[in-house]
Formats: sequence, C-alpha cells, structure tokens
Amino acid sequence: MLVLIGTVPNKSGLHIGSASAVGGNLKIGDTEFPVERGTAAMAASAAMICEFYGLQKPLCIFGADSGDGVGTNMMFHEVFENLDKYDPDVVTLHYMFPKVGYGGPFIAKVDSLKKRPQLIADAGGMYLMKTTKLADKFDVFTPDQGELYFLADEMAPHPLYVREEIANKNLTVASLAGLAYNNKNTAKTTVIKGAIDYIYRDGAKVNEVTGPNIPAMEAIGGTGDTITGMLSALRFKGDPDADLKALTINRLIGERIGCTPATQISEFIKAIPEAVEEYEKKSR
Amino acid sequence: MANWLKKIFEPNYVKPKGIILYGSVQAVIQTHKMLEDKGFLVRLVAPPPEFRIGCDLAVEFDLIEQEAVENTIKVQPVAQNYNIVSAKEMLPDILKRSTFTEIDGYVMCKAGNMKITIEKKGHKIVNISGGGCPDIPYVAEKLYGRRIEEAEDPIKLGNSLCSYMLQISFDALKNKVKG
Repeated sequence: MLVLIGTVPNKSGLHIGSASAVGGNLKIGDTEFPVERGTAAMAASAAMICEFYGLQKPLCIFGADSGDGVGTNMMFHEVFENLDKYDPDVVTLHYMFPKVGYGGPFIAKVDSLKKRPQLIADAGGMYLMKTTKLADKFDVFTPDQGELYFLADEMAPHPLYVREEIANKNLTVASLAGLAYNNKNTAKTTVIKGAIDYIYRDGAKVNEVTGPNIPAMEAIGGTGDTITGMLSALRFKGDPDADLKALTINRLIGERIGCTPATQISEFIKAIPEAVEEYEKKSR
Repeated sequence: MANWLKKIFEPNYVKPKGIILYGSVQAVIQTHKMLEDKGFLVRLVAPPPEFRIGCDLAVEFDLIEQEAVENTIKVQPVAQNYNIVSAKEMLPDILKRSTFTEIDGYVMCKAGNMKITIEKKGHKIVNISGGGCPDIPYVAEKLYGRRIEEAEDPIKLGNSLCSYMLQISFDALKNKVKG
C-alpha cells in the first residue's frame, strides 16, 4: 500500500482513509480537501497516478494542523500505533511540524515492520529527518534548490539558518549535493527540483531533466508537491524510471496547460492523466 | 597585537551570550523587535541544540545586559513567558538574503526555500511556493489575491520559521514595489 502522511489546514482532527482524486479534487470518504497546495496537492497527484494505472488507492493519514502542531502530533501518534496495520510498501512524509521528538520513534516503528517500505520525504518531513540526523534512513528526498542548501549545511536545523558562507558562495548543485551526501544529510536518492532537475543516487548524478524549460513553474506553489506525489505513486507501481518520469510529466503538464506564474496547482493536477498518456505514447 | 585591535577582530561569540526562549516564533520576533528598538544589540538565532524542539527561533543578547533586558521585557507589551539560558557556542544566524526574478509581467522574490510572486502592474499576490511547515498552506490561502501593500504580514498569520522566511521575501518585495 502507498501511505501518505501530512498535515492539512482548515480542518479538525485526524483524517484516515483511501484517497480518490476524480477530476483533480481530493476526497477521503465524504470529506473534500482543497488541492491548492501542500499535502492535499501531493496526495491528489499520487491518487491521479494510481487511478491512471489502475493501482490501489493511496491511504492517507492527515492531521489537521494550521501551525500549532496538534494535528502533527495526532498524525504521528496514529503512525506509531498503527502503521503496521496498513502494510505499507511506500511511505511518504510531507507537510508537518518538524518536532525533533518524532524522528527516532518513526524510524523505530519502520524498523519493526516485517517488510521494510520505501521511505520518501519532502517539506516538513524532510526537514525533520535531516535535523534529527536520520536522512540516510530514507530512500528519496525531493528538495528544491533552496532546500538543497539546507541539506548541504550540516549546522542548519531549518532552511532559515543556512549559513551565509554557504548561501552566498554560489556553490554548484554538484558541490551542494556532495556536501549533503558527505555529511549523511540526504536520502539514498535526492531529486533536486529547479530550472534543471537533477537526480542523485548515493552521491553520484544519475540523470537530469532540462526540458521543456518553463521558468513560470518555479513561482507556482505546489509544483514540487505534484512531483513528490507522482514519484511516490510511480515508485509504488514499481516503475524503474519513477523519479525521471515524475519530473518529466510535471514539465509536460506545464507546457500543455501553458502555465504562467499566476497558474494555480489545481490546473496541473487535473492535467496529469493527459500528460501521463503523452509520456507513455512518446516512450513506446 | 594591541588589546583594542584584538577586540575589533574578536568573534562576537567570545563575549558571553544569553538566549531568550519562547514557545512561539511570533513571540520571539515581537520581543526581538522591541529590544532592537530600545537599542539593545540583539540577534535572531537558532536556540542551542539541547533546547531545540523543532521549528525554533530565539533572541541572542549580551549576557552582561541580562538585568536590563529582563527589566525592559517586564514593562513592555510582549509575551512574559520566556526562559533565559546562556550560550556556549556560536549559534546559527538567520538567512537574510533575498533575490528577485521577473517572469512575463510578474515578479518573484525568493528567500531560502520561500517564494512569493506578484503581478508587476497590480501588485496582486498570485502564488506562494515552498516551505514545509503546516501553517504555510493556510498563510498562502490568506495572502492569495491580495495586493501586497494591503496584505497582512505572513508572520501574523503563521507561526513557523517558514512563515518568518516568507516574511523576509514579502518585506523585500514590498520595499521593491514602494521603490
């Protein structure tokens, strides 16, 4: 099963269930979640991919949290208690309050499972695992280039604290990735999102995606979330090119819908099936 | 080397430093601003590792001024539920750098992992990107569609380091718009 864990704003309590994303709208049971950004955008993208390939729907564990940490706490409590019951193949951590106390128990719970799932982290989940020195227990991190500086700086407990000597040096992606790997501050695979997307595995660059080149995509909130969601679902499918495919499909969507810096991510999510179709046709 | 010259080149953290800790990022920012306005030499830093919970911010000050700092906090309208500890190490400073990019009639400002984009003409906020703390989707929703001159400060809507970083890019963009 694909298990997606993250916080959502403007709700209350804990929301657990299989997610569907008909027409790009995310639903768990009878509850709808706006997909304009964050965890809901990531989960809707994953659900669209699962639906396209006829895979089992992703299981979502969402904590309602607009910044006080209460929803994050409920969410982790559920994970510590019941993650084994969901029989996860892939677990993705997304937006959350990166409280350092959650890192160790999360890994202990994963280690206790009979079958070790693939672990993916983005956003607060990635901040948490880097800060608690557990990054190398993960299979994939999906930072943007700003977050890559954070992974490269072994002293920074959050992207806000990247030291000036690193932030102002204009270091190359290769040297930043090198620092992150040398200090064990990133996952086995690091998918770096930017004007050029890079895929690093165990410290070595294994691929990059340069086109179609659409500068407006950097401004659109959620274009990283769609990559994380699609990549999670494609890895769940067992696709050997999951990372490359997610990055390419995201760019194909941007081109297909003619996005501008004012485009909202819901438009991207709706266009996922057509872009996947286009990708599959081209690669046949 | 003469003593006065040594002092000039002496790293700041050699002087004993005190750290003011609160349970919320908003309270830290408010107290930091108040102390700065009152003429204290203060700095926003990451708390020492043993006091970090996650998503933390603290105010650093010269420990020699502890009494004056505490007396000032006592009489000002800022949160009173703080703790003070001493710092034995150089603590990470906050990132202050922001950059601008123009794309097809829009201006994007980026600080660290947070980006905010407005229309070049109407100054309407059209997108907020980046971040990983739970308040960011909420803050983004509240800011979307507002003119940057009229929009509420991100840090008043959110309470995380990502919101504070968004505030840095928001302020830079607002200043650019003002000219």
